[in-house]
Formats: sequence, structure tokens, C-alpha cells
Amino acid sequence: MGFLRCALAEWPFLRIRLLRTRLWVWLVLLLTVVLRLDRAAMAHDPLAAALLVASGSATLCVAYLAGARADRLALGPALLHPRSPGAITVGRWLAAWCGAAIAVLAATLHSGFGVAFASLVTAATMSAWTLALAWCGGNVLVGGWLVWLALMGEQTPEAVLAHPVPGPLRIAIAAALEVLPGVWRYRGLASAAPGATAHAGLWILAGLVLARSRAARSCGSR
Amino acid sequence: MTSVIQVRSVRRAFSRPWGRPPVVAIAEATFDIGAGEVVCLVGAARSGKTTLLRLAAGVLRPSAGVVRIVADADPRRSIGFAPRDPAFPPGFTVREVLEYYARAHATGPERDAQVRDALEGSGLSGGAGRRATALPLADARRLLLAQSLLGGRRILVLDEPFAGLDAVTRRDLSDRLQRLVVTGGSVLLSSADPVGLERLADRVLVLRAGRLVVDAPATALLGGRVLEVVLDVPPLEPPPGFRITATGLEADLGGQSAESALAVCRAHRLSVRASRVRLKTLDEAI
Repeated sequence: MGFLRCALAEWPFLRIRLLRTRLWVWLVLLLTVVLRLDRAAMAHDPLAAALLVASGSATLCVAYLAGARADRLALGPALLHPRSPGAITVGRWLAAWCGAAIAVLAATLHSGFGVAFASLVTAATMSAWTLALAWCGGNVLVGGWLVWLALMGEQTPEAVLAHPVPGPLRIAIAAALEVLPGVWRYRGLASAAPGATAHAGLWILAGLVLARSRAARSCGSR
Repeated sequence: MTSVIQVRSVRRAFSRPWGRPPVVAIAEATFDIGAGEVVCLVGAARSGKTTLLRLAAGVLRPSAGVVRIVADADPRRSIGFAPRDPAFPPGFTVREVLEYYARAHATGPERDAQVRDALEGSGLSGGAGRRATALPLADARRLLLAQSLLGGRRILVLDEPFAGLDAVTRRDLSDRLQRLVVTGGSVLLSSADPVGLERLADRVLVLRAGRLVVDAPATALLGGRVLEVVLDVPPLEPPPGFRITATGLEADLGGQSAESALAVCRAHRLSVRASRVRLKTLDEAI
């Protein structure tokens, strides 16, 4: 009960950041770019567009809810009250996921259940992974991840390795695409593919565990 | 007096990477904090004050020794800790910051009452709608005090609560702390600058290079008297037992009377314009 109450205590972060920062502007901009300006892509492959919205909005929400230096510094004082780093991590992750879910639901309004489900799970995975990035290296790492998503978001490892002489850089990029959360893999979530589901579940768990350990370190050795 | 915090033979070292020897922040410290007591921990920068406070508050674990907090199993339910540097979530107002922290202590109307009490106790009721990150230092320190009062916590551990504050704000904050102590609270606070702590401290701990070198009641430290003498023309050499000040001379009286000390001045043909006897200040005593 205490854990749940402390996790829910992170909810004001979403409300306040949506209302008082430019987060909502960026989310609207993301939706506009993907859904309105790239209508052809949306019509051709609505799942890819929805997954991109999910990934981008989750990353933006984490950047605004947890990635700022002041937010990371404020973790220490928050842990001086009887709440656990795990509750703070889960609460902040849920808040970021809810923010991304608003954009995802807007993007998948006319798509089927499978697309909406895949996008929501993708948003959850990206939120957990980006939260770990944010609490490890702040918005510099989160910004880097956003650039990675923009450049490589829709690529598959096979497409990267399609070159006759791949070279070490292509191999490294393909390996990263294979291991890290990626849009190409989570397409399988729409059809409940076990591999994609397991990958997403593992990254949610890994992201939360890593973020929790970083949160715990912000208040000494507790 | 009942002890609320007992620190026994505590040592704290921080390990360093690449095989370098660990940094010993606290070499040895033993002391008690009693109920209804204000204890001031004084020491130069990097003497280990913050580490000792964090140990006493249960935020850090000691490398050796024991810190016993005579209260709940979770020290955070009974001890309010205010760090030196204010850090609040950006975009939150003062009230929202306190509500966020108070959610860990209570729900519903009880939480609202705690926030209201904390705002009143710290003197921030008028500025509850202001953004916490935009507060001036004095109000940010009040907000740190307010968050440490949440949950009805009566033991406060405050790291440099007066650092960077003007005299008026220092006095206001120390009045608020005294009011808390009158109602049964206990305070352990640190300061690099002992000036002005005389009116607040019941006991003074002096920390030097990680070792507690003085643990004495403030009255014992402040018992000495000082004779201040204002002269028309300051002498080139002070008389025996005196030291030169900006306005003349001063001397620790010890066991002698002010008249006998003034007689020494007259014997050295110094024209005394005025004189007064005052108690030692804390920085003179330590």
C-alpha cells in the first residue's frame, strides 16, 4: 500500500510538466509531423507511424519528467522522506508512460486494437529504458537516444547488414538494433509475437532496475 | 535527559577507484542528542560536518560504530533532514513541493494539515504559490526547513541552515527552531560559522579533520568574560594580556576584575575613552 501510494505521488510531475512546460507543444508537434505531414506513410504503414509516435513521445515525456539536472538533484531530498527508490522509479515511469499514452491513443484513434496495444507496450518499454538513460546521464543521453530513434528508428539489422562489405560500424549498428529496444522489433507486438513481447518485457524490467539503482545512489548509501 | 540519537565510536570512510586509499571523512565520533536539545556542530569546511550529520540522520551507514535512533524502524519517519543545497523539482510551487513530499507521510485531510503546519512553521504561508526553484536563498532554506517538519517529525538534522543568510533571516530561523524545541523537538545543526549560534545552542560539538574535539555545553564555553577598551589613540604595543582591536584593546578577563585590567591600561598611560565587559562569543570560545 505504501509503495503504491508513493508511486502514485509521482503523478503531479506529469500534470505540472504538461501544463507548465513545452512538453505538450512537442507532443503536438510530433503528432502533427507523423500523422499530418507524412500522410502517405501513415496510410501505407499505420503501425510504423504509431510505433514512432510511441517511441518519440515516451522519450520526450521522460526528458521533461526526469531528465533535467534539477530533477535528478531533487531525487535526493525526495528520498529523505519515507519512500523507496523503487516506488519513485515506478511512479515516474508510469507518469511518463501515461503522457506518452495520450499521444499514442491520439495517433491510433482510427487504427485497430493490435496497433494501439503494440504502441502502448512500445511506449512503456521506451519510457523504462529512457528513464534509466536519464538518471544515468541526464538529457544528454536522452537527446542522443532521440537522435538514434530519428535516424535508425525504422531500420532493421538485416537492412543495415545488407551491404556486401558491412564493415565494423554497420555491424555495431546492427548489433545495437538487435539488442536495444527498437521499433522494428516491436512491430511483432501487434500480432502478440512471443519474441517481441519477451524483449519488451525484459527491457521494461532492466530499465526499471537500472533507474532504481541510480535513484538509490542519489541519496547516499541507503 | 532522554537521548533521541546515540552515536557511538562512528567511523566513515569513502572508497575511491583505481586502488587509491579510501578517504576517511569521520575518524571517530561519539555523542548523544537529547530530547529538547539544540546541538550545534561546528567545524571548518571539509572537516566532515555533512558526513556526520548524514550518519546521525540515518542517511549514510557508518563504516564502523553504531548510530542508534531511538524512534521508528525507518529513521525518516522521526528525523527530518534538510540538506545544505536546496534542490526542488522544477515547475513545482512551494505548496506542490510540500504536497509531493507529504504524500509519503499521510493522505487526504491529514496531508493537507501537515502541509499547512509546515508552511506556517517555516514562515512560507504567504509565498505558497511561488515557484520553488525561483525562491531566494532565505525562502529556499525555509522550504528545506518546512519539508523537514512534515510528518510531525520532531528531530531535525539541518546542514548549514544559516549559510548565506542575512542577520534578520538568521534570527527569524533560529527563533522558529527555538519554538520547535520548546514544544519538545530536538535539533542537530551544522555551521562553518559559529557567529550567532550562541542564542540557539544548548551544546556545541567541534569537529576537526573528522574528529570530535569538543563536546561541551554552550554555557561552559561561553562563560568567559572579555573586557573591551575604546582608546583615543591605539598603542603600538598592547599591554600584557591585551590584544589590539580596531577601536582599541580587548582582553580575556579570566579570574581578574575589570577594574584591575583597566588599571593595567592606565599604568601604560593609555587614555581610555570607554570600556565594557561582555561574554565570549562562540567563535572566540572554540
